[in-house]
Amino acid sequence: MRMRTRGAQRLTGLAGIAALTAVAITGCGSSSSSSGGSKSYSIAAVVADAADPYYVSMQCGAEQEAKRSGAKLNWQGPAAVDTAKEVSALNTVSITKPDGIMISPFSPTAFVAPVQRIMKAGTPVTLADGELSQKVAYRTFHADINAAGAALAQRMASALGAHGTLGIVAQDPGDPLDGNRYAALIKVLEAKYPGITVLPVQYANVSTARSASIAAGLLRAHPELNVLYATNGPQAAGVASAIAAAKRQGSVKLFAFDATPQEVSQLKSGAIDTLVAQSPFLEGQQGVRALVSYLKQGTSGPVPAATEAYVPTPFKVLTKDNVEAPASKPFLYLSSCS
Amino acid sequence: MPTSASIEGRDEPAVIRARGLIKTFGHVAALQGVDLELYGGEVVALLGDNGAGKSTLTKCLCGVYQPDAGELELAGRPVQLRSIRDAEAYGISVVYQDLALAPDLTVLENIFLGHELLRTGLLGRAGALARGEMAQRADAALQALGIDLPSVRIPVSELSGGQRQAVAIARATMWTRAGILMDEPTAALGTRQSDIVANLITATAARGLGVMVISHDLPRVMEIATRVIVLRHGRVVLDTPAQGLSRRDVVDAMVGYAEEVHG
Amino acid sequence: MAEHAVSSRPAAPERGERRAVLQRVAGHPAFWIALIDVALILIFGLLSPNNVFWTLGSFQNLAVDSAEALLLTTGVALLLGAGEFDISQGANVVLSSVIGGKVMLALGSAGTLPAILLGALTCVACGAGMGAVNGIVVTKLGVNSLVATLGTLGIATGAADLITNGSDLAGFPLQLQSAFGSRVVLGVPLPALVALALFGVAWLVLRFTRSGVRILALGSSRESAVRSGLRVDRLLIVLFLLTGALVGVAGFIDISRFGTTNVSGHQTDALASIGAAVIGGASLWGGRVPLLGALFGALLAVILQDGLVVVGLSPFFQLIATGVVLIAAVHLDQQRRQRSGRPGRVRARLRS
Ligand SMILES: Nc1ncnc2c1ncn2[C@@H]1O[C@H](COP(=O)(O)OP(=O)(O)OP(=O)(O)O)[C@@H](O)[C@H]1O
Ligand SMILES: [Mg+2]
Repeated sequence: MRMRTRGAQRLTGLAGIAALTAVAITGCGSSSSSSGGSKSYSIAAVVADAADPYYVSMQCGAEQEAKRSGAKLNWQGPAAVDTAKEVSALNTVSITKPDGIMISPFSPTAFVAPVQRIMKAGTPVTLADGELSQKVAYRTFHADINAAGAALAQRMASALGAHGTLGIVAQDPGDPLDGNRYAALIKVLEAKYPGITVLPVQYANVSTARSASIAAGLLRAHPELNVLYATNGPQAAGVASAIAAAKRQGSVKLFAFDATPQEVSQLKSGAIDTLVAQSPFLEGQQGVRALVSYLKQGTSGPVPAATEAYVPTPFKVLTKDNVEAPASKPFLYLSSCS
Repeated sequence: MPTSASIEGRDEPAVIRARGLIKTFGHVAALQGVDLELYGGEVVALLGDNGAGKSTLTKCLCGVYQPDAGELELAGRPVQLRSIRDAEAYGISVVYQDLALAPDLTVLENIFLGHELLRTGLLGRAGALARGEMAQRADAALQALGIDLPSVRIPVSELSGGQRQAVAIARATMWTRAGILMDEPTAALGTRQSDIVANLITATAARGLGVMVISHDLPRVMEIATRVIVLRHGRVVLDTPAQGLSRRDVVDAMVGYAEEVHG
Repeated sequence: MAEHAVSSRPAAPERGERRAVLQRVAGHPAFWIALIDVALILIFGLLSPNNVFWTLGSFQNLAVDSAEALLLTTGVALLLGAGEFDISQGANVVLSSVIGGKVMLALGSAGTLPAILLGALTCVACGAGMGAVNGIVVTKLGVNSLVATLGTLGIATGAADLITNGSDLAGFPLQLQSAFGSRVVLGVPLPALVALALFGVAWLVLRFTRSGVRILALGSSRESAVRSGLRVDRLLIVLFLLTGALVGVAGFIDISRFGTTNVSGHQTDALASIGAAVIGGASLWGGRVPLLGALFGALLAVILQDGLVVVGLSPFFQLIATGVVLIAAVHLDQQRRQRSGRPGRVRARLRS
């Protein structure tokens, strides 16, 4: 008797869990089904960090393009950067045999083999942001970071009158992506604007607190400092707070990479002078568009890889003056699409 | 003066012989020169008021404490014990009031913990247990002591307090060659369970082991004891065969009335 | 009294026996978790486009995704059995893959096969070494294992960052992936086979050997282990070392699957594996670890992860669903233990 009641109880619990899961799955699964037109392509996307506004913006661009061309989009990616989880998600997604796949690879090497395999099986793969160590994808879309660095240097020189001292708060010394965000800037400044002195690069590892203390130290050690550059949003927030704490808002300009919601509001408030932003929105849009146009050709068999390394997407230098303009909209990173 | 009650005409050396044991904790003199013997086959009741030094004495005899002074002989050989494992090597083991059984392991696994039997051949070399043989031996040992358990393959956590104490005693008797020390083995038990343990103690002594029991349950312990030792302020104040001893004599010794009258 | 002793249990009727077997199966925590796993596979299969979740490729994918999780869960389950924790597992995966990877890259010129083999050995040795450090800190320095492994978590993460400067190692021989990481043997991915084999060994050891009993004794009552004369420190150090070696194997699987290290990943691995072991019925207080339950617990997280991707749901649901299952499983288990009233049942049997 006791055994039966105990078993029954367990069963209720089990049924509860199963039901919960089922409700969650069916309840939320319905949103992604939008049919349109003659042939509806199914497209899967796997990004490095589904919670990052950068990838949210990319999702917005991709969704918009998918809707326009009547494709169905399955958006996936780990909740925090993790190469293993991202590759797993790609492998799993490929099981569902979508018509095309767009990825935003966190590692340049780990995705080479799976992309080769998927392309060989006849499914086109585009890369939005990031690049692989071999040219195996159908198309790759990202901004030309070097060009962005040069544009940033120009803007800096004109804002400072070609004279000043620059402090850089970067991520960490080994990160090549982060390195690109200041290497070109330094190169162009040194070549074209010798009046601007560049202090040794400091590293804050995406920590707002660490950035704040580094910037405070720089401000104290270098009274002549009149411009600081942070290579991402969290670091910009830290540097901005240090400038405010030192009451140097008037004499020190803050430049930063990216256009996170936080950075944009600081740009509007004046805490940040200039932002240079890529457009994840356009990257996502073009990644999906390239897939759909390949599919529309109706070719079968292995998909040919692109010969060029990447197709540059635009970047934009944002200031208080142009941030509200409609043309700037695709460059602002979003925390949700609406 | 303590009455020496060393039994005449013993051929075997005492399982435990202590001479002049002294143990102090800071300014507390817990043991102030204790002499005692424990022979195989006898049940010695170690009595005394709270704080008399009974537990300290037991711990000195099984290697948990090292006495400050005094000599200890086990089976006629002078020894210095550094740990419980030393004492076990000499054939002395301890049954604690708080048991020291692993509740999640089965009765069998508890009885054989640290003494596991392995299978023969390659499997045995790989550490595979001979559960069948272990169960047979455990069943036999439990049966010999009159312990009735539903099965030796159920976890100890499913046993009652008395049954657990019985398993602990069975475990001690199985791995002990000479003497067992028990510190308040029935303190947490009800009447019926205490009776079972008392019977076990008699059965254990009947197998030739020396048993020393600390207990505050005078009536019950005096029923099974063959000898009574009373400690008071870290000294032996009474050491005498239990036969014919009245409870009154013991209590007088415990509270010091005897000392006042005679001294 | 020695006479009235012999226990006179009546021979149980056969039906009772069969019921007892059923009861034991149903009472085993692994059974319920396995049932949930199966139910989820059914649900995801039904909801997936063309039921692709039920295809061979999908199961192979589940298997290879489970390999590392299974190794870590097995390791942490053994430690939980001995009453210890290890939250440094993820950091240890990263560090051993980084050091093994460095060795592999350095030996690249010496030929592919020797480089791969020595790299693999280095991964395992490094994992074992980190495990031994954990064991020594816990036993010889007397630091609680939660705190000790929190410390080594930081040390291993920092060391891996120092060695790699924060960016991943790459450029491993292609054969690393083709010969091991993405190799399929008899329909089963090789990394999964390796993980399953090691799990099998751990299961046999825990169930049938002296070491298994002693591990559980350590967790059930440390006091009794000491008083039984077990060499507690040595046992614990060896146990930490061996479970560390399992982590090292996971580190090798990591680089051989992806052809790169993953220094920014694995941050929640240790918590996930503790969760899987607990879902499988392991007690956080030691002494009780149904390893089969841990196996199904590890699978549960992977099924949820892959299943949600296949049905096209946001990845965030996986974390939520695993969290719900974790709490539900522990709650149900607790209730089962309370209601079964084990001592009462035994007493009733005694009386009869
Ligand atoms: N570890 C210790 N540190 C300091 N003092 C101690 C320690 N152990 C015992 N004592 C002291 O030594 C004396 C004897 O203690 P012991 O525990 O041996 O008494 P006991 O006869 O077992 O008493 P009880 O019947 O209450 O168990 C007491 O005064 C006690 O306070
Ligand atoms: Mg005492």
